[in-house]
Amino acid sequence: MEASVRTVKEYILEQFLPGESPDNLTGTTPLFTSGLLDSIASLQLVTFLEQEFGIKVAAHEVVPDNLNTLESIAGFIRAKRS
Amino acid sequence: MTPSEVLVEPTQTAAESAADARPISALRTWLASVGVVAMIAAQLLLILLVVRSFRLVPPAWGVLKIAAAGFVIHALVPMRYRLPVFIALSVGAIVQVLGYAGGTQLIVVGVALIAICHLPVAWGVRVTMLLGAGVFLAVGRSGMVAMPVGEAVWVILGSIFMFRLIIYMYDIRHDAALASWSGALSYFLLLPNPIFPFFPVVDYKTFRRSYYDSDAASIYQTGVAWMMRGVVHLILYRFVYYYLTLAPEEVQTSGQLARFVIANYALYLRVSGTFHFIVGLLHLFGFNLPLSNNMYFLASSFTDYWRRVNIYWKDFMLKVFYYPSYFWLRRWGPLPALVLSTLIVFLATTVLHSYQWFWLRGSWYISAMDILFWSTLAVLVLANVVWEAKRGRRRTLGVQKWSLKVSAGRILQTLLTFIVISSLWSLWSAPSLEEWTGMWSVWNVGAPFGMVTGILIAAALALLLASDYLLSSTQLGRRVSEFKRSSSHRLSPYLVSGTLLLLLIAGHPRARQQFDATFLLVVEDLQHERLSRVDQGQLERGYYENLFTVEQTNPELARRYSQDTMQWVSLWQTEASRETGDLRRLELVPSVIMRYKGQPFTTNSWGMRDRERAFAPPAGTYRFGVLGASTTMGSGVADGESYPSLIEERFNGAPEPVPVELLNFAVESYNVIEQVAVVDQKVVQFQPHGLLYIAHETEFEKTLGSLANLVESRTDLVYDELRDIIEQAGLTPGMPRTIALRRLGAYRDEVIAWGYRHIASEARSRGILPVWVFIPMPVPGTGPCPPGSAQLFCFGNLSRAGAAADATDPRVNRLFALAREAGFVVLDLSNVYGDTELTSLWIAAADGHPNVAGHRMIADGLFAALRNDRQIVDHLDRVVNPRSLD
Repeated sequence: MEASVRTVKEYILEQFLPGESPDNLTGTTPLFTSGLLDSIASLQLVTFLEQEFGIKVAAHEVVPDNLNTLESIAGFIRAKRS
Repeated sequence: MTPSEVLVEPTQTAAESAADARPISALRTWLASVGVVAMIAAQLLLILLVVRSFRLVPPAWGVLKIAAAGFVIHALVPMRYRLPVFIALSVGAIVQVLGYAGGTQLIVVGVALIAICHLPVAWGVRVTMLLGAGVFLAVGRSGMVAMPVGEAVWVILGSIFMFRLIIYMYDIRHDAALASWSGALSYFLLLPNPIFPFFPVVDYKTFRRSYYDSDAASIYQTGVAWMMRGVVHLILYRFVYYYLTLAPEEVQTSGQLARFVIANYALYLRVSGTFHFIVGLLHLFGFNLPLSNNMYFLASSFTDYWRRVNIYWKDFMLKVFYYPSYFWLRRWGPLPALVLSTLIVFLATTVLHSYQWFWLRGSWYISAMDILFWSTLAVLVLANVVWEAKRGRRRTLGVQKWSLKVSAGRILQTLLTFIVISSLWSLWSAPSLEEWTGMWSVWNVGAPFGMVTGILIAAALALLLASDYLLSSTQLGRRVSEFKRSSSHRLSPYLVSGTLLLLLIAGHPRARQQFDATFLLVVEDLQHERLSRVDQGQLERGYYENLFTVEQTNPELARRYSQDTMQWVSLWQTEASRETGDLRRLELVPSVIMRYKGQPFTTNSWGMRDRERAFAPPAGTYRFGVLGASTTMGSGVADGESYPSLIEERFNGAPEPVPVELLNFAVESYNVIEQVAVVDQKVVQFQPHGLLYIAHETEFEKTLGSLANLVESRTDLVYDELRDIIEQAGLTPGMPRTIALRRLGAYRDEVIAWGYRHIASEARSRGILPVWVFIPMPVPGTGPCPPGSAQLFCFGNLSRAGAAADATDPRVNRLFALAREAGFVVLDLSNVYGDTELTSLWIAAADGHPNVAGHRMIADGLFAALRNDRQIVDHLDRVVNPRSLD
């Protein structure tokens, strides 16, 4: 598992899913479209990504394409870093 | 893969690619897709049959046929042709609704707007140009400057572009790859839009991203399932609208208050039903869009409600206002940014609801109640947002561990959210805060529900608790969830078809012939589109209700939707009426020749819709004076076709003619108060021998409404009895109408009894025989709940669903008693329409006044009743030749 995915997963489990089994949150678990992450949570996640990975996220990038799964988040971080 | 790559529409499915390589497998693939299309088409056919059977979206029929046939073609052509086919079908739908001229106007303006979006100049320049074009078009829409754009075109044009242009420009700014003519044309000219001016705010990026993003069969099946869900919502809406809505002034107890509030909120089923139907229809063309409303009645908090109701609006607000403002404001800290951006969203929502109203209805809609509603909701959501930001909310991925405390807490939260949101909705549709608080003043009058209802509510809550336990912490619950996950798609066609077939069977005339069940009568009533009892009283409806009837203020669109009635105006807006300044308020102008409701309308030199009459009746001729309102006046039928004229013809044209005259003193909207004035001022001059007082089931409501108007306009009430009633009721000019009507409600019997007594005694003192005739309007209705019943779940007399009012209606029964007590001869024409389908007797789909056939039936019924009543016959005999009546 990619380091960034691990970090994000830990953050989501701790922040939004306390007590949840880590096995339930896979790389393809939908976060946005399932309603798990709402607008407030997505902004908290974005703030975390910016601080943790040193990236700058724009308002129009807060979309399911970028943040719906751990895999898409990892891809988004990679794209921003490159 | 970058976001842009995801958004490029597929040109070939995986199956098509494989099939290209191997001809045999191409045939197999094609046959499989034909099978899928056939299965979906069969369900679609059932949906169309139910839509037609229940007349759910009457103007939509032509476009739905295009959509159904188009679906088959679209689904069977290769992928690369599907988007062009969809665009062609959308253009066809526009032309079908607006005609060639209107369709061309819309497409020309639309293409010009899309062209501006794609001009090779800076984004900001294009936005400025679009703003300029928008202002230019708004000037035309407002009517300030005449433009060569039809009235109907404005509505559809506004509906298509008012929000989607904003979203489109936003998306192509951030991803230029999204800017394409095919994408734009398919997005803007969405096929169902011409028949649904009030349309969900579809997101462009989602629209493009979701295009065949899953296997076609699954997308299509979701589409028909959502269309069916929409159909069910629309039928439920109709049930609520027909049987549960109350007028504000009818709210006299806490039970009625609860019913009013819940029913008012439940009217939103029309929005969710229509949106499910629209989004489901779009699925049939490959657009795998998300759900538009998600079980909003079960929201457990205000933010949860905001996330579940009109989800497309919420997403639009998040994308265009919330996130950009948050990112801009977060330099001041996350919490202030959160608070301010939430407030910006609600401010934008308030303003854009008015903007939407302008484009759909052509006038600005902003009221104090609107602002109050949105700001209250904003405060509630904001409080919830801050709470969630600080404390978080419970989330889970798998099965939750059940606890009584958590489960009961969730149910309680859901209940409280429902109560608060439904109360807020009642605020939104109230005419003023004073009226709303006045309505709530009865919250402690009586119990909100009886013991049986209380037990049912308690049982429902216990059931919810038990099902929550079973589903979340038992093996059975896990199995049910697993089964739902794995088999819902497989079972969906059966569920959809089964539900639709049941609806079709329940609505089939044969079912009613076979089974004598109240339920089937209700279903039959629900199959007709009509005004509810409350709206027949011409009461204001809420924001969304009005957006669904934009054609009522747009005659051309009404014509396009084949509802010619909508261009009709009230008689009081025509040259045929003038103010009197007395109890009658208005009267007919003498010697008018015009058209009213599309029919020739003339008045004689006495201001009666009648032929010329002399003051004194001809010798040997029995003269009836007829007192009535719009039906008796002949609203919507030509001169000479109203039932008083027909009865006169029957008397005089019978094998043995009887010289009888019926002088028609009826005037639209007159009721007891006006009739008292008409008798005293006009009728007696014409020296009738008999007086026919025509009453309908709305006698109480309309009379009290008139009296409230007279007080409001400070008109001299003339009669001491009336003045006393007003004084006792404490009515004063300027009092909110709801409160005035509620106060008058306590004196309704006294008002009617006074009027009836006055008319009957005045007649008898002059030797005139007073006859009171009950003629129901040909409008189905179950009547209000009997006084004193538990009001929360009282549906009126459902066993008479679909039938006209009669003496089983407590209001009508009371009218009969009052008429007898006053000394009238009473005639009951409750069954005058027999088994005829009532809607077939209307002058138009949205006007329940009787048409020519209806007037003939009334004439037949009343003619027979007059000839069969001994008192009337004896009285008539004294004037004319008695032998002719044997």
